[in-house]
Amino acid sequence: MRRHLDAGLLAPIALLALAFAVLPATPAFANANIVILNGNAAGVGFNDPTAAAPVGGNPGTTLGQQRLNAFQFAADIWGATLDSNVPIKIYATFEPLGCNATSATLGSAGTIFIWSNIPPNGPFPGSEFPNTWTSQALSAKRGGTDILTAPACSNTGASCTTNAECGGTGVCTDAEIRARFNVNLGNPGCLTGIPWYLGFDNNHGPSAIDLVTVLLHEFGHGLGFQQFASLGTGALPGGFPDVYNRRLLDNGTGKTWNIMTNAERVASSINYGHLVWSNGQVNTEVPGVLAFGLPNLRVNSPGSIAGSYAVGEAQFGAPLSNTGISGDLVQALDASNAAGLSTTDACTAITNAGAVAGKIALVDRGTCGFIVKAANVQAAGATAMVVADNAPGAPPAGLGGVDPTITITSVRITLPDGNTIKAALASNPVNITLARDLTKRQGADDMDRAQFYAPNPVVGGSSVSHYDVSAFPNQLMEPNINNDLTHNVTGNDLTLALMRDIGWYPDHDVDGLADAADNCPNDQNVDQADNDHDNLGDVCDPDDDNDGVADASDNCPMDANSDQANNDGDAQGDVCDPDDDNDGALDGADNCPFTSNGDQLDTDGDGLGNACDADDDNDGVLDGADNCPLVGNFDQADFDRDGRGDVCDPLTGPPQDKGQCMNGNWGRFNDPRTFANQGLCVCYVAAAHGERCPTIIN
Amino acid sequence: MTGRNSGGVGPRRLTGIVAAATILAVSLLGIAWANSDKAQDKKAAQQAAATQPAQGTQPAPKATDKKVQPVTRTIGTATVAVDPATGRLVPPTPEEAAKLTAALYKMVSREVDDLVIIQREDGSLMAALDDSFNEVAMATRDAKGNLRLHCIDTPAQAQRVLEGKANVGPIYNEKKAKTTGKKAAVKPGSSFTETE
Repeated sequence: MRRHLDAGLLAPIALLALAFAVLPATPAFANANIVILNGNAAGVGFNDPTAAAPVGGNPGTTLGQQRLNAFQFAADIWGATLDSNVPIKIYATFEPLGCNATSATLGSAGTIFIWSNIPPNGPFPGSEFPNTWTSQALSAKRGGTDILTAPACSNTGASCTTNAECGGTGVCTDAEIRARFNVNLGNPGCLTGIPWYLGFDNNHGPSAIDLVTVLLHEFGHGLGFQQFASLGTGALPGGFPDVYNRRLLDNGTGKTWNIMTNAERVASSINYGHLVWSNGQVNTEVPGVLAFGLPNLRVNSPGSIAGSYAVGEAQFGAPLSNTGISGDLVQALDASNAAGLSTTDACTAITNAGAVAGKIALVDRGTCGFIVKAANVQAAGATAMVVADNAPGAPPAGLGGVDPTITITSVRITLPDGNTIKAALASNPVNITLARDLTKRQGADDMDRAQFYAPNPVVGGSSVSHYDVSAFPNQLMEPNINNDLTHNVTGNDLTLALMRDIGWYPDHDVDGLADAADNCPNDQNVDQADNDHDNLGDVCDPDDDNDGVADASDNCPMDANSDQANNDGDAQGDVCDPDDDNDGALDGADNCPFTSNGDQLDTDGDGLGNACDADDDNDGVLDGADNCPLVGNFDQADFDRDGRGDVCDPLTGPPQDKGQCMNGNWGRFNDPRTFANQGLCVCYVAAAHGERCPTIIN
Repeated sequence: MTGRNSGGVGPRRLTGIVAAATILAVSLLGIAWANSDKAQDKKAAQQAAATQPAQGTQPAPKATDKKVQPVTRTIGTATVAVDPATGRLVPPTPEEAAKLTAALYKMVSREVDDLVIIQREDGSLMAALDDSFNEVAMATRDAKGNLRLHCIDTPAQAQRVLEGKANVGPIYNEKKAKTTGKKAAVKPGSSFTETE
């Protein structure tokens, strides 16, 4: 879903409507809805009407549209990666930024406010740590609400309604992130001839800068990939660390930044190679992301200085191989002359070629180019060249230059490392190997902890808030924006892992519950109801009673009834049907819950309705054999033997006279007979009792 | 720490109203500007319209008639010079360029001690960063045409880039290196390179 707020082209009324439109309820299944607030006036920046042909998947037909589309494209990539129920608003402008013919500010991004101590809000956990800063977008996610409930001044935090209330430097905003990008890029005097590439396909070529890649990087900072301590003083805002620098560990001191003194933080920020991520998802993913093969100089002997030393690689000559080059190190000497006063700078022909031949030459940086030095030691027969820096600094920089005639491998080591090796070389042979260390990952320390950029001295790329430049494959959040980056913040990259570690927990359904603890990670269910306790919440469980019958076809989806018994044939199975015989009497009050008996007749008052009572008169004779099923007659007396017991036979017992007999006559028999019709009187002769006509004298 | 209770923050609807009002103001300013531009020389406008950008890239502006005095416009938070004949931005004067550079340094000034921190009713703390804790992408091109992109966050780093002293690091406009290897993969462009 794309939401742009174009402040320059739309009519005021439409603007009012749109202004509200950027604050909608979050779609139920959004990841994060990142909204670009177009801060440009009509006719410029995002509203530049200059016609432009669609390019690289960007369908815009004006320059302004294409810029805005590229912004939203990058925002959507992040939006599809992070989860938040609160829209993330990026107040963005294309505007002039500092530049000259050969250098330019491309753009910037940063959180407008930082927050701490966000209280929990229902299922939303609030701040992960007390007294610890987080970016505004992350704070809102964890608070489950738009924590900045009204616009505030970016410089004072005071509630406001207009920029004027904020003084000269502040703006009145409720956005989470501020982004500015250079409207002049490529124009004369502003990195002349190198404009933005606005396509979505990263096909920027050699003469343009891919806007989407830069946006992905800078948006990453705005979303939280950033620490907030001063690198000049080490001071923390308000004395509080942030979620990022809490995990910055100096593996030299063993301290994380939140427990360091200000001075220790300053020192750590330039402790190259020692600033690493302390723990968490980043380090878990390091083995799967960062490749082995750290460029390395290994001293094999003497034992006193044996070990690994960092090197910078050369752009010329043979690259470092996996197997490497081994040999004794020899200080190459040359004349002190106009080309180089030092006798160790190798700026002219090597004077101790006999010693250098077949060995690895050690030379000093300075005076002449690296390719000059390499050519001279190569001519002397050296198998490789090690350049010792002549100025402090780490990491050891690479060796630049182009000379296809140079075939030997060259590397650079730092000034202190050079001094260490030279000191040893003064009294002992030094044997080294130049190779890629296949036991060490590029961009991680010996414990596979991701390294962060801490150059000494500071160079042209910000430190600490980026992965180290040695990381390979190249990472989106290195200080150098590499040309092999893809438009992807996941995959073979540690950026998302860091976002997880600082608190951007996965919550795909944005219900506040982390996916790992959510019994329905893709469906909002704050109550986590789980009828069958199978750890799959009801809203996402296809069989809520776990009876093997899918809810869609289960006549009792919340009550296990694999037999699907349904006495009355209605839509509800018996286990969940309140009136199983559908007779209107609810089962709890029904004296025959499974037999329809709306009258609830219960002759014997035994609680079982007649409709379902096997012995309606409760005389011990089941109804099927009872000659009076509704009148108790446990003796089953039936004088006239007509099948109806005497207690329920209105015409039974001996006739009083023949007139009672239908035929007006008695019959006489020698054995008892049963007549269905009482009116047929009977006498009989019983062997034991003689003639039986008990009440009639015959 | 500067403590201040923000007190009665307005309802969310107020946010929308304020946003709309702000946008409206910006919009009206922009519309007024656009209208004024339309009143310019028709021929110049036609020339501007004829200046089509290279596909997918920003258009390079036409050469500005130096006889025409630029007028200033506000774009975003910056005041810039605009050629009234073409409506296009013109290169900043040294004074304007100095202001832009100062603005750049301010964006990364990171004055921790000057931050205003507000205690809110719910116990949370908010620090207004005053637009000074940005991360800034910069590009520099050396004499050989090699382009390098850096992300910086201190004025000193920004200054190095603007002064052309940051011509180290991987080259952006070189052929993309292969990013995989069966054994030891080689990081393209090395970390930093200097020629002497």
